Amino acid sequence: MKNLGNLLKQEEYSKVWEKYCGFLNLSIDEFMSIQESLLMEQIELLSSCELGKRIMGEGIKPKSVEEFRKLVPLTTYDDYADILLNKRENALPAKPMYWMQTTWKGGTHPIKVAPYTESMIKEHTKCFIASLILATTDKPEVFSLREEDKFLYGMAPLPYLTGLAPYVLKDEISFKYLPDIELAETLSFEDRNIAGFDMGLRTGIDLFFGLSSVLVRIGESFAKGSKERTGELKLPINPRMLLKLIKAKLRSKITGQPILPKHIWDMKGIICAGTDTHTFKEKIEHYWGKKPLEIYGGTEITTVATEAWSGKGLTFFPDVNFLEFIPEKDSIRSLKDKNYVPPTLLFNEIKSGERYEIVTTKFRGGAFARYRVGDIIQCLSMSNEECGIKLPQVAFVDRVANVIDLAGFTRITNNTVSEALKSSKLAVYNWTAIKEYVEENPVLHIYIELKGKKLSDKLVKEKLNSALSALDSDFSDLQTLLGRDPLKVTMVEPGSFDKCASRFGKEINKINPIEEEIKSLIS
Amino acid sequence: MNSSFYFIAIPFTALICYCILLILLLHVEKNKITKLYSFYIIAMVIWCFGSLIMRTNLPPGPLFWNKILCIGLISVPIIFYNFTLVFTETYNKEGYLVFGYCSAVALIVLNFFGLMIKEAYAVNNIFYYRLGPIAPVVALWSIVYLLLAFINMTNKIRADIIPFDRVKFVLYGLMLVIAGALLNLFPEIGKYPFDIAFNTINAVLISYSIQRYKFLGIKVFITRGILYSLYTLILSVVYIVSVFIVEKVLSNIIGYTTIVSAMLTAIVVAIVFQPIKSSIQMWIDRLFYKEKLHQREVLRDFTNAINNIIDINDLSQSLIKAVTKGVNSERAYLLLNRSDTGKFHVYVATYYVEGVEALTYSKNHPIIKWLSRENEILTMSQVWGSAYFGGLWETEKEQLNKLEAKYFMPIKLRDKLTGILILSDKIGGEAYNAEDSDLLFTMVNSAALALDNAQMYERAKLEAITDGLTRLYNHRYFHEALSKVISNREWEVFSLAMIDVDMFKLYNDLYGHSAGDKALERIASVLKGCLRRDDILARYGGEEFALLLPGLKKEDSLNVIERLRAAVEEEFSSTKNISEFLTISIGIANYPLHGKSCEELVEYADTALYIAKKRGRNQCVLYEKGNGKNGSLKEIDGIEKVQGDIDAAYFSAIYALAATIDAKDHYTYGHSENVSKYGVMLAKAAGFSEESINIVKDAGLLHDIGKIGVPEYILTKPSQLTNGEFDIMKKHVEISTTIIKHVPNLVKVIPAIMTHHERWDGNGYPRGIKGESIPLEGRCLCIVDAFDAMTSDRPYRKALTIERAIAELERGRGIQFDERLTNVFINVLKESYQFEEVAADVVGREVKIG
Repeated sequence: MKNLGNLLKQEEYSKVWEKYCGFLNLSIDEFMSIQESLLMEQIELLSSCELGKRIMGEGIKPKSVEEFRKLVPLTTYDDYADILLNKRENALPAKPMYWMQTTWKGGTHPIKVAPYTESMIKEHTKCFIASLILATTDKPEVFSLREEDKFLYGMAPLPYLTGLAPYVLKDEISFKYLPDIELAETLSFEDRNIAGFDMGLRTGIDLFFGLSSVLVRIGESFAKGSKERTGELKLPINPRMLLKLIKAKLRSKITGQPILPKHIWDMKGIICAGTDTHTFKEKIEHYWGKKPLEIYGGTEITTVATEAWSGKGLTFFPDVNFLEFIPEKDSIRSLKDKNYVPPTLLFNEIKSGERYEIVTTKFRGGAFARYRVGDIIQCLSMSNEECGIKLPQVAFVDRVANVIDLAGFTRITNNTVSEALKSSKLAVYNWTAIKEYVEENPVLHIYIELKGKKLSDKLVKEKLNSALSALDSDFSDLQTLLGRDPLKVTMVEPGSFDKCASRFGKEINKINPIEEEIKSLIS
Repeated sequence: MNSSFYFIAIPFTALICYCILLILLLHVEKNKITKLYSFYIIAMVIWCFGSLIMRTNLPPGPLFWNKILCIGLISVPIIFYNFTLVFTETYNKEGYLVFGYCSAVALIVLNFFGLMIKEAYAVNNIFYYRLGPIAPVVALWSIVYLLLAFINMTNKIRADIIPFDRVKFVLYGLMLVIAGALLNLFPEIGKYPFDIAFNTINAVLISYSIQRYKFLGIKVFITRGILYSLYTLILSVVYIVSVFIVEKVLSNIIGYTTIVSAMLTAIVVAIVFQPIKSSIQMWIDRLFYKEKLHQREVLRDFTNAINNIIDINDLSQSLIKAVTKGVNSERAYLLLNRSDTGKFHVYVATYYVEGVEALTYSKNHPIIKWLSRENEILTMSQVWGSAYFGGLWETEKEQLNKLEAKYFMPIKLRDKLTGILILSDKIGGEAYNAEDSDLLFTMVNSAALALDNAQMYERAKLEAITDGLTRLYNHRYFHEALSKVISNREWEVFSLAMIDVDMFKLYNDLYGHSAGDKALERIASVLKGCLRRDDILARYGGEEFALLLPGLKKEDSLNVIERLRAAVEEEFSSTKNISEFLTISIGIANYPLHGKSCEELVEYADTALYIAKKRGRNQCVLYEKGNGKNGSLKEIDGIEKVQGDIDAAYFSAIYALAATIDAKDHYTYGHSENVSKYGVMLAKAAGFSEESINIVKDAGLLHDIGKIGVPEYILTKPSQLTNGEFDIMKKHVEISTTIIKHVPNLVKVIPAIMTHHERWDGNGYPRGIKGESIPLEGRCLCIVDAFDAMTSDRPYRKALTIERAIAELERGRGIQFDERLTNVFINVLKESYQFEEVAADVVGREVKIG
């Protein structure tokens, strides 16, 4: 089978589309049939390994989807931690090729690792290519992705999952990475993005993959400091870029408007990941002249879903994970009541407008079975008529209620805030934290009731900000990289928390309490 | 007609040929290869067009048209080079390519400034010209690029990336084009259209390559109509040349006379033209239809053959051979839908690949679903490249790779998929063409009905040797197989095992024949699961199975058989389910150690089985010389004695247990013993057999043993039991059976115990069976158990008088109790002399008879 590069060279575009984006044409029955078949393969693999026996139970080998859901319990990373963190390959369903890593905020260890088998890598590559193709199209089968496109790859390097793509894409297609991947490995996240955009000014950029917040930040810096910024612009090495830069400068002079990235770069496709992508989409389109394509994935689950060209919801890949969905109310109940076993629905059972916690079983020899990823999605519609997709369309909503994700940079938990408050040495009586959006930017809003003497909001915020930055480097990066203050502190009157508790008949949630509770606190 | 005409006719012919090729290329699926090849043909068209017009002196003049010709001539090498790079998937020669295109443009421009052809004119369609200073450069440049293209192709052929057959005629044509271009360097030769003549041949060779070797991977390219056009064209040329030659010869010999000349020409042409025509037709047929003729022959032979074959193996072989012969496949596999599994299995293969027998597809498999839905060939590239097949397992993908599968061909009968033909590439790596596809469809369509008939015949044959219940071989087949193994000396050593299900009659009595059948099916399935590849297992009759174990000596066979026995025990006896107490006993005889004939082996295995039964069942016994049903009676006596001792120990333990129960419930103290004695009394009076009387006796003693599992507060509750408590109480029946089923010689009492609470009207427990479905001993116990309960004090009531008890029995007659047995029992009770004696002896209570 020819790889993507060869198919593109031979201009076999319809074959490319069918191979990588053909899943968009599947019916729900065909989708479920693929899910069932690959689940049976995964059960076969799990049943013969130590990890599988532990998760499914000794001697238990479900013979159907129903049996699998009945016999195998829901799991969290704790169920896998000792085997995976010790990288015990012989206990796994298949030999891993890579070990991916991510932070484990609120977990028993600082990191989580996940094994990636050869066929998982192939599948992941296929999914990522599908997203690249879809990012460069606005109608079926017509796309502008080509070999040697200039690719600004602004994501974290290996061993993070986001760093895997450039390595695995090599077998499929050749891109010119900005900067070169080997060089990028040696640079920090910030330097890599700066170097990438500087190179992009000289050579042009065709593709971008990164955090949506980074794109917004660059767009804003262009808009704010047009004069200074354009003065810094490097001299392009190709005539096309030179012409574009001259045109942009002339346009800026004539209109008095700042130069925006879209005046310099004519991007083929932008792929964004990160929890708050949906809030940045319009800004990105404004600054960059191209609507970003959102993808959804994670270290334990790989690339799970992608948007199509209409940007009206994510479509799940059928052959990556077996998908189950816990209705949101059951998910919340299970967070509060550890003994409650929430029911799950299958992909063909979810309903439009409803929210669900996602549960996945990794295919292709992956480790995780009935794994609670901790993400909430919403089913937007049962199909996407504009793109001719007959599968439910979903949107990533957020992390589960007990985690606050800020622009994809960091995840704040009860533990993070408690530790920060402790190290800030503030005499806190009670607190709660909630994620809010200020001018479409996500912020962490902490409501605090102090014991004894009253301190100013500003002082408390300063202390808490330093404590959080010292405790969580990702939180610190968020401020330095995006130049944005992600923290908001509100001091509440003494007795507010007790009043709220007596009104609602329960202690207020530490993370993401309901709106009425917040209103009650500050009233 | 003079020779100048031919200098026009040749480029004209070439132009027509290339135009036809171009039109066809414009209608095929577009990809970069076909696009570049189209450009190459366009360049050829320009070349031929220029060559044609420049000879006609049409304005603006030959030099101008020559310049047009040169656009084509210069474009051909670089476009063809580009084509070969894409065709051979060579992507590292971009430098050469860019230089080539730039220099081609420069050369074309220079030519327009007259640096290539200085001067040109045409006289009598002969083209005269004078070369300019860059002509040698153009020639050299063209040759370099054509050679580069040539080298590139040959390198790929050497590296086995492209099959030589696929491109050989294109390469030959290319050599001709190079030669033709070189000849133009010599104006004396170049004035004649040799280059174009060679180009015409090149066009024919390209067409042939596309048609015969699917050079561009294009589907049906040259249609029959085009071939006939070509045929007509060649015939016309031959005709014209013939007429011209005859006319020349005649005018030279006899001078020019129109009538004579015409007549003689007609005669000569008539004489020679027919053989020439036939030869050309034969040549075209051989060239273009050689494969087709071969395919026709194969199809004819195959169609004849299938009409005379009914055996599925022969038919499958015949089909697969015809397919590989007809379309030259390297490998072919035939999968047929097996009715026993409902799956598609590999039936025959032309090439054995390890694990091929494991290749099975269920009806929900995406490949099967696709083939069932579509009526066309599925290619592997579709499978790899389509999301529809995303559910394929990694092992399946590996399997298909190992098979080198490239095409899946559906075999359908009345729109139902009955089989699949999997084909690899053709020998030599050529691609399949439309004719191949037609042939394959014709063959499988013809074969579909024959295959279906053969499968039906096969099923009928199989049914004749298969046991309907267990789907194992039947008695007849087993004897045939055994005789064959012995007479053909297929194995130097083998073992024969006779397997009998223990207590099966009891099981049938207890749970009915339907449950018995199901148990036999399960046992058959367990045994099947333990077999080795060559073992033959048959249902010998009733609950008896026979097993042939090739290649096993006596000790080894004992080990293998022991695994079978253990598997059945694991499946049934080790469970908590009371109904699953079945085990098997096995007797084994060995060939040639114990016997060399069927009869001897069966007899000795049977004897060993008899010993296994006598030794207490659920065991394997290997026949020992000197054993015999009669000859080993002494040994059996010994065994029986030992077994009797063991059983006695068990009985003691169980009776002690029964006494414990009675002691636990002091109100019913002695109840078990009473039930036993009343039971024996009734059984004797009702004329039960000796064995039944013994069963009633033992069952009476043990019938409440399960109460050990009932909480004491329920057993001794002074008031009426609640529904929940009664449900718990009811479980004592099942618990009794669970305890007893582990004592081989007590198993026979289980039916009576299991049914002593069943009612004649079907409202009893645990199973709610009624009437004569309740074993006789159970019906007997039911009556005497009730009688003893009524006539004893209970926590919640006093004992009834005998009169009242009899009245109750009469009331329940035909409802709760078996009418006949109740009558017998009442009569027995009423025979006072006996009754008083019994009452004094058994009940030890005050007795009053009215």
